[in-house]
Amino acid sequence: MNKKNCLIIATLLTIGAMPFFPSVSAQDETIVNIHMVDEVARTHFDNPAIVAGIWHYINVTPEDQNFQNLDIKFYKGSSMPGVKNESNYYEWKYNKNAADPWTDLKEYGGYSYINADQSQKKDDTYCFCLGVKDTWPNTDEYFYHYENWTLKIYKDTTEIYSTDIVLEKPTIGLSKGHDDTLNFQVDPFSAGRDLSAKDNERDMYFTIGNPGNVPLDILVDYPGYNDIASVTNSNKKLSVKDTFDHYVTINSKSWKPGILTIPGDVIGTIPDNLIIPTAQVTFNNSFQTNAAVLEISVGHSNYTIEPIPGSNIVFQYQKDLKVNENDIKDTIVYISGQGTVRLNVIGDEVNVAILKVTSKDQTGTPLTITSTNTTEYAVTVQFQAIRENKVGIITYQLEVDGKTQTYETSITIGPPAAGETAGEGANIPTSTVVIVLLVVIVIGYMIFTQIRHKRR
Amino acid sequence: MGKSRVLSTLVILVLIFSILTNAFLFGPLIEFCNANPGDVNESWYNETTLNVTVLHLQPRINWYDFQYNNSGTWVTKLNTQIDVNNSAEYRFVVNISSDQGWADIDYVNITAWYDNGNEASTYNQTGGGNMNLFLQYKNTSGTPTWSLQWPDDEVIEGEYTETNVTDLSGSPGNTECHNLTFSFVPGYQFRHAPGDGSWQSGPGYNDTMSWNFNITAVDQPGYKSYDNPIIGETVDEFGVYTYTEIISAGWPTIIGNPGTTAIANSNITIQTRSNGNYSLSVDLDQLDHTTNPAANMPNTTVSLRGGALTSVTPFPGTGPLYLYGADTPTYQAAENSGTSKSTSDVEYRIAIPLAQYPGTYTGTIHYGLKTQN
Repeated sequence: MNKKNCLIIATLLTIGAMPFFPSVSAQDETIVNIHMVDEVARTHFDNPAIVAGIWHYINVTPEDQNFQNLDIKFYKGSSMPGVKNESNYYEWKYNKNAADPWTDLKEYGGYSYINADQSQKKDDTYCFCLGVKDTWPNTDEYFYHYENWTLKIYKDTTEIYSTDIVLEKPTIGLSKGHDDTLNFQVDPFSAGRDLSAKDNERDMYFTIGNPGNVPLDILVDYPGYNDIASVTNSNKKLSVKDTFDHYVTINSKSWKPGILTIPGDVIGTIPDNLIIPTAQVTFNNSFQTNAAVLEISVGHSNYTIEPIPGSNIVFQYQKDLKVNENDIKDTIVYISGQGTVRLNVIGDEVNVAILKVTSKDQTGTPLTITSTNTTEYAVTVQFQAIRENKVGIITYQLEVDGKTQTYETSITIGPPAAGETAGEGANIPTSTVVIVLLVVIVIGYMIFTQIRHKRR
Repeated sequence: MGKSRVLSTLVILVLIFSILTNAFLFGPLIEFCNANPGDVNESWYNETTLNVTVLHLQPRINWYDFQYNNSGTWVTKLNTQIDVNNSAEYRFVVNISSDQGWADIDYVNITAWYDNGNEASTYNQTGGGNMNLFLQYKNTSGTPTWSLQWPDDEVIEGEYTETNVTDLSGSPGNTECHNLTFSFVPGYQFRHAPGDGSWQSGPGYNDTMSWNFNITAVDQPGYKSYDNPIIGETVDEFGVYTYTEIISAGWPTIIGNPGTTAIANSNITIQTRSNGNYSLSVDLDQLDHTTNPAANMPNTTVSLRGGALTSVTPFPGTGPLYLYGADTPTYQAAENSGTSKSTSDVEYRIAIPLAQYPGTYTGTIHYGLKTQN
């Protein structure tokens, strides 16, 4: 292969490989970083992304600092537009020697698209805080709309940097998913305990997402309960396309038994310092949706909590129990809240028999109970499971203000406990022992007789 | 009697005695128990089982599951709630035996629907792609095909697999058993199903306000798996969390003169996604001048219309306006079809007071999208 062929092949290879090179040219080893204010750099189709209507930083660090002006030109498409307007051309300048070094060379409608107060020089880096007007309609066909623009940077009159930019329509969004209700459980009158939401062993949480291209400040608000509800990732900025998992911890107060339901809101607001005012009245956007409802069950663990309708009374009982045949067990029910309650406890007497009903000051059923807001009144129900493979029912009739409510404990009865059968087997009646002895004596006598007969 | 006979006699006596007691064994071989005939009117012995394998003509659905793809690991989601966000993937898994060979299987149909509180409801009883799902395996031509029969847009079709497995209780040489999987991605508005408060485990329609599903295999003569009296219908349930999303493109800007009513430069489109009944409210802060703290305009100078709010209505200053639903709360019915709803006619107007301080004002619009839980 001669030199000419080598040169042709090398040229073809270079041309072929060109699509794999980034479009950014670095004539002067200029370092450029483009990002939204308080955000990290983001790309779209591998090019830097800029969102219209939002302040961005374009940080320029020329290798050669010997210049008077840095000029940035930003235009739609790949070639300079003939007729320049707010929808296709912007130009900003930094002049080292000017009293106001950061200037917008193309103010449109009397509004500047460079934020001189926020632009600054840090060492060898020139931080332009700038943006462009959102000129697209605010209709759904423009959701996530974008155009290809070109950014060029000049040191005085020399171009030192060029890159393709994807200019995006600002699209603001907020989404909520996962758990709709977070369940907490705490014993009555137990203040100062940190409670986590659990569903069996699973930690419960809800998610908030940002499907848009503008960051949002997220606030999770439980009005009236923010002093006891601690929410992860609240009061934080949710970046573009990011998602927060929100876990809630409740610091309990001395609550009386019952179910406390606390609705909440999630509010996502565009940070004020991001929006470029472009008209006499410019609105910011804030989105609000439901946070997960906090449902705090104040009662004993694994108990069903039943607020009695039309009263302040709360009744707690175990809805399901499993026992073995012949077991004698206690189940305790609790009554709380201000009022007078008449409680009648009834066993089905076929599968479950009530043996005893007692409280701190009464025995038997029905009981008349004067309940208060500050304590729980406990009633112990002792019962015996009669038949295995059956479901026994204990019925509670609560009469409050002349109205009766009925609740039930279902008792699933299994076979007698292991060892119980053996114990019963060992307890052989005397008559059985006598019979066994008689049998042994008779058999022994027969054997003895047989032996003696053979001897003769 | 010789000593040996005495000894053997004693041994015999001891052996007889040991039959009746546990003196020399771990337990007596014969045990005497007492029972009160007047107390026990029935007796059960449950320690043995009778196993009978009956080969039926009908296809047999041996087991099934409804699973979530948790980063490559499929975990069951039967009788629990799932996330729907247009990316979470789920699948049905079905194990089916055919005692006449697999070629005898014509269809495997999976239908699912939101029961709306009525367990007697059926597939497509309430129409809409967010309320119904129909996945089908078809084997009528010898080359199996899968399809998402319904819906067309509200669910993204996933992958399907078929695996030959062994049915140990089948008839060797005759029975063929396959595992079939049907995966799909529910869209954003796949109907919210909270359940009835506590999820019952096990098969059957036993939780209202849930998604019911029914899996049926049909063979060539038209016998269906649920015709099998032992197996019966393959039915179960799952629930769905709420999904709520609100999106807008841009924000309104208004230019006007004092003493006039100025209209925003363009209507705003609000796109909402809610998989349940919902309300959409709009409220507005006071408009503040960007540089003059003393200059402002109350939100009562601003009017709004859009959605179900068809007339231009000023903000009351005491609360939001509702594009859908109301504060009571009243909710707009869930969208039975589609993955989003666009409200494109949201218009803002401002009555700029006379002698209003000139300049630029800003204020925050609060959109509140709430899904009924």
